[in-house]
Amino acid sequence: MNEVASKPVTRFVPLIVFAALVAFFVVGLVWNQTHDARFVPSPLIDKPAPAFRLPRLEHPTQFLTKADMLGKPYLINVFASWCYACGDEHPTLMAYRDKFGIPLIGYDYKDAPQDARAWLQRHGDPYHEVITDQSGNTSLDFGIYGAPETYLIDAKGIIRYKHIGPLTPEVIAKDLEPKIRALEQEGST
Amino acid sequence: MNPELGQLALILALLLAALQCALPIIGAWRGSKPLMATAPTLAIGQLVFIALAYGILTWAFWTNDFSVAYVAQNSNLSLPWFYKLSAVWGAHEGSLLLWMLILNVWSVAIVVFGGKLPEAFFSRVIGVLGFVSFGFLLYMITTSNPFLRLMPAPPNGADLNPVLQDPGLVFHPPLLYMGYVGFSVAFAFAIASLLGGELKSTWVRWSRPWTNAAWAFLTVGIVAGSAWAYYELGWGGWWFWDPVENASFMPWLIGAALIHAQAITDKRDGLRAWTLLLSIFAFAFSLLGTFLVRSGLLTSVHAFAFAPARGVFILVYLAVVVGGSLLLYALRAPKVTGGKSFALASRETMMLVGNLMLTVACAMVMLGTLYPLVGEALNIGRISVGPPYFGPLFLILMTPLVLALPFGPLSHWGKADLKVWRNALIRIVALAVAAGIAGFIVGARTWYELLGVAAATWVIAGVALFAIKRWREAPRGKRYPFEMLGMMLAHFGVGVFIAGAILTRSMSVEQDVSMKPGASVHVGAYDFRFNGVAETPGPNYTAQQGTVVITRNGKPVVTLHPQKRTYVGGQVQTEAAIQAGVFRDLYVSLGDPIGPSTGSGQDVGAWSLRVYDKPFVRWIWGGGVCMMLGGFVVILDKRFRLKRAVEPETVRPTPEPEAPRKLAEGEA
Amino acid sequence: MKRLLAWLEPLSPRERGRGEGTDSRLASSSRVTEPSPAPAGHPLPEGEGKSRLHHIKHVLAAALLAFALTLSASAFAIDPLPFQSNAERVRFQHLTRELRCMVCQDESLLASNADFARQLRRQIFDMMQEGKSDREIKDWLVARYSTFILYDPPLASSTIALWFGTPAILLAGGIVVVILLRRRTRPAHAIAEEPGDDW
Repeated sequence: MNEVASKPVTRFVPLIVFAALVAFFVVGLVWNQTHDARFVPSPLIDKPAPAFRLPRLEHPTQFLTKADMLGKPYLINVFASWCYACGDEHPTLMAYRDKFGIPLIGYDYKDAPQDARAWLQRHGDPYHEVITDQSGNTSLDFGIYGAPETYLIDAKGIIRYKHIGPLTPEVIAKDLEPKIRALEQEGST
Repeated sequence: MNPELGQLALILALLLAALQCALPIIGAWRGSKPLMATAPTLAIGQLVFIALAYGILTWAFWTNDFSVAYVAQNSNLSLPWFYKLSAVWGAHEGSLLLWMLILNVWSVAIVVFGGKLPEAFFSRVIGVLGFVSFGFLLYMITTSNPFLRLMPAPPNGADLNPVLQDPGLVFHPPLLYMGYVGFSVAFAFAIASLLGGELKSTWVRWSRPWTNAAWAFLTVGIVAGSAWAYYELGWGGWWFWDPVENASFMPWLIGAALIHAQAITDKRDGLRAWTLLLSIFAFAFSLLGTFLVRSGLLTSVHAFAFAPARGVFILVYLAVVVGGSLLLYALRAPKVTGGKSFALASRETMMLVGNLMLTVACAMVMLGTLYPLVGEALNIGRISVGPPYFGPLFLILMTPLVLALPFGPLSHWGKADLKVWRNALIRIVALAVAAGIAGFIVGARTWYELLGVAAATWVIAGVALFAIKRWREAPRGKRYPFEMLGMMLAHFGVGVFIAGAILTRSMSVEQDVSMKPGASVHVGAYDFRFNGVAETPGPNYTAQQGTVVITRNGKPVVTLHPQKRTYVGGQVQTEAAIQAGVFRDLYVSLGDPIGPSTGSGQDVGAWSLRVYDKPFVRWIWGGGVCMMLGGFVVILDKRFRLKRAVEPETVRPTPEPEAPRKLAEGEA
Repeated sequence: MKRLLAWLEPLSPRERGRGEGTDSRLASSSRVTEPSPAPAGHPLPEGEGKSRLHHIKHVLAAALLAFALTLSASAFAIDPLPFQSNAERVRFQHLTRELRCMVCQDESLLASNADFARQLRRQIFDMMQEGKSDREIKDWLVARYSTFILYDPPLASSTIALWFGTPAILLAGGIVVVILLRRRTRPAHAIAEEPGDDW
């Protein structure tokens, strides 16, 4: 065994590299358990929200624009009647719509207005206002690539937070709620 | 047959694997003949139980026993019988069972063909394979049991994924596993030599045929998968640098390096440590591929489908097997690099260059494949790494290898005859330039095409010059030993592959079109006329079948029938129709209906179609098949026949069968 | 876990579109120069598309262990766009092949049959018609979807190791080989000719 001591250190290089690799895999496995890889963070965070001009669901001849919303923070929740997970998310939105303390705008994504109306009638309408993007053209500017997605936009029209996938009470308590409160702080000072 | 019996068989196999790992190794350590003598029996016994389990699962598929959850998920009453047999390996659990079966077949193959190995060495090899087998069996029994029952049994199964209902896919996984698992033999030989503290590298010669076989199987497995992706996926690509593909490519690259390193160690006694390391790496990358694919770590979209326990288990297993091996290597690898001296201009140097480039290419593929993970783990943003990264880097790394390739065989061991090099270089350059000019005259216009033609000619001309040199210089009857013939075949395959890969890429014409019945489109030199779509029944699907008549200058070439199938389970699958040819494939696949199927209007009966003119695409796989054949032909060489057992613990090189070679093999 | 599956990409507007006068398509055709209607809907029934896709992928990943198709077979895109010339078509194919679909993340924008990919292909097509360069199109995409959409990650502090890793490994390997050659090689004249068959 005294032979061992005299072994050149270079012999251990492969083992060390491999150990580092395994450590990486451990981190990767943990990451994989705690994240959903399909949700890619948006580059628009802390950037101005794109200008939009979309018809209201209830009054298709009237439009809601970004300028209309300036001056107060608000939430945009992307949904659609065809979207399965939106049904899962829906009860949460119903429960929280008044607790958010800021307007919750529904963004009907690539959906026929009559379907959206029927859907909201059937399940209940958690939104203070619903706008429709039937073609999905505006959704490109928001970087929307599925539903549901939720944006928090501040009084200056800056996107402060984006959640991809259904909102859950945990997500709201952990991420969204504190962000909204922080915005309110900013507003009041 | 009772599925619980299969379960029992697996557990018994696990026990035997534990014994197979422990007894022979202890026996070799203690020098106990009776303990060592258990090795063959245990290996064969384990194979019997694994085969029994495999048979029981197959029987469950054959008899539509949907009370077995795995069968219910992957079969269906109307599934054709041959797909019922191949459905056994159609998903995770069953494919592991196939993996185990193949591992045990390899082990028993060593028992059968390796009987003349020194007893202690043989025992250690079998013991190491027992350890490998034990880990996988434990994995299967604890996390991936294929015999789980489903109560109550559903009346019908969910059906085998239609993507897998294809002859190409029947053979692809077993071939690939033969390759992966085959590297466990080279691995076991290397570990056995480390355990036994072999001072000589005789074991390398014993290991070589197994390495060649494993690499050849892996080659043909990758070829089958690539060809299958080409015609089954409907969009004519043959390699996507996808993480799962990369997982199979990494052991292939290491395997190619190992084959050459083993040749140096076998013949010149050099690179001993490197050969050991590569033997470990080849199998480590096979395990890594398994881990990456089955843990859902990389193509993370898969992640939800996998129990986290599976990923964790394989990672622990990987850490134990590879970490343990590398530790053993660090402690016991031969300290002095022995071997015969060589000049800078020599075959050894050429092979070193090749080894370096293959290994670095493997590292590059690994870096690119794992890098997104780094981004996630370090929280520096999500990163995508794809074809525009891998393709150019691989090309750059392979350029020196391709340039050096002809000069390896044209050199002597020890030192090259520079006159031979110079003459060969002049001829090869002349031929490559001539080929480039010929390509230009024929119609190649881009640099990419011209260089591709030149590179392919470079390699093939090198092989041809070597063949001529041997013909002139070597005595009749000894001109082309099998080992050399295999090398020539494989190198020729590299040349063919280069031509195919590069020409296909730059000459293909691809077009998505929407066509009404009777409409035509001109693609490449051909006219494709669409004659509409009709419904055709199949055994377990109904197909929308299109008819496309292809003509060239008004002369009919072929009529193709691409299909869009809807299987009983509701899955939709596209079957491209291909007119295959040596110089080009004509390829049509059917998209979606665009207009109404009946009535009037301008879009009635219109469909979207993809049409392709793909020159030289067959050369890609042709080259791969040549490489595979090369790998197998090498095994036939007399050099690898074990003449007689060397006494245990007294390691002497095996006696040389032929006089002329004796000199080359003598002590340094 | 089911819930995650249900996070659907809009496969279905198209499905519905067929029955209702191709609503979503008509709306987008104001931006799309294509005169004929877009190819009809996704073959999979509503709500099942994504989960089936995942099922296929999972089964395959398990079965093939090493090869793959991440490209789910029933979902490759055939998407006829009215290109002006062959060169334009080739440029489009080349560009979209190097972009990643955000929805079916193991497919390129060119290959993916997801509605999202289809829409982005139109968008890119339109931008090409407007005379935008590849660079401009990529910048436009990156501004909305981050560099994740590029299969060719740009050189940044986070990708230094990716781009310089291979040269570094090559350099290290090269140094090892050079050291080895310096140690082990002898001048050619010092190496004895070996008689016999040199193989």
